[in-house]
Amino acid sequence: MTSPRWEETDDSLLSELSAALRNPEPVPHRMHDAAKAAFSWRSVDDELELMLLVYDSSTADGAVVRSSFTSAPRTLAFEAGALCLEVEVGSDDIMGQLIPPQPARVTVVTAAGTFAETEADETGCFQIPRPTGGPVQVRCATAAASLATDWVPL
Amino acid sequence: MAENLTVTDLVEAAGSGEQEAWNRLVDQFMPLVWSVTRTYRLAGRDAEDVSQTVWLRLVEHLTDIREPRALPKWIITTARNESLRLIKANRRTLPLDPLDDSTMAVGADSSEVEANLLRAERHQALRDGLAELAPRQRELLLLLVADPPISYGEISRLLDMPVGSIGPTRARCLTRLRGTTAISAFLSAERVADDTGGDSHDLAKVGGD
Repeated sequence: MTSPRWEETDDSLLSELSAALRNPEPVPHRMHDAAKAAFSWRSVDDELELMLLVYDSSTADGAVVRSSFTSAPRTLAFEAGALCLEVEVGSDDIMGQLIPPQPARVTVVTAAGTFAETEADETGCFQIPRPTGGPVQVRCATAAASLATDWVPL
Repeated sequence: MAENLTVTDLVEAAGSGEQEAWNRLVDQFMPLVWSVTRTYRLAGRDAEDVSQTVWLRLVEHLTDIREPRALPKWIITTARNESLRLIKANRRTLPLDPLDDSTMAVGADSSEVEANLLRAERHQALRDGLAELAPRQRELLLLLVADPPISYGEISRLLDMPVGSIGPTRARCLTRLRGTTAISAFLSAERVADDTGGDSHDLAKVGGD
């Protein structure tokens, strides 16, 4: 005899509901506060285009080479339409390039606000300080568009 | 803001800029994020980074999420991908010990991890379904699962309801609960998985890019 599926009998459904409501450990308050505050980053600017994360060397296949010798910097690529942003995350700086190459105002944003700003030159290249941890977003204002990447923890 | 709203209502309201709807989403789904990070045994700063990344990203993706079941899926997938990435990154900075596979075991998607994530998703569907019910139905169910248990006599007094009608009302409320969008969507996906012998809860295939 097999036991009833969790939703089949009233008793099993109720006991599953009971389990769903027991949180073994409360979520820290500051996680709730930080999550609620994240809403202030909602872009009210309709023109702001989201650049999606399309490549991350730290999750790419073959990245899990268990070697203490591999210390190649992490590389990320973001795309919005025909525009691509590639960045290399160093220990102090982020080096990046916009493709196709073009000048832009580049900003690194953390959950706490603007962290650093710089200009990308005509080749689309820039170098900008990075925070030591936590999620960041890179914003690029080109002549034609305002763009913001997906948030990525460094 | 009304008390009983579906996840879809909340996502829509938050997408159009209502902070209160966003706060409700955070309250409703933070336990899900938390159970994913716990599944991967992340704690402290690591768990906070995963959580903050999930919420910051969700702010930008609210308008992409349309179907009721899509949000819990999206949250589990994002939290899972970020947890796995962190584990890989941490492992890379640890001294290499070829005889110690314990760190590998945590990162690997073992069947235990799968079962934990599926349970987290099922429990989230139950909490979401409960939130969809009318306040009085929700109250009764909460009293019925209270720990330590509350007697029918006490429930009758608290809800001003004859003891004799608690049983039938309980049955009606549970039928309602099964019919909520959150639970019926979860159940229909589960049935598809059972029928095909496959696993429609295969989260790795959902937005696992």
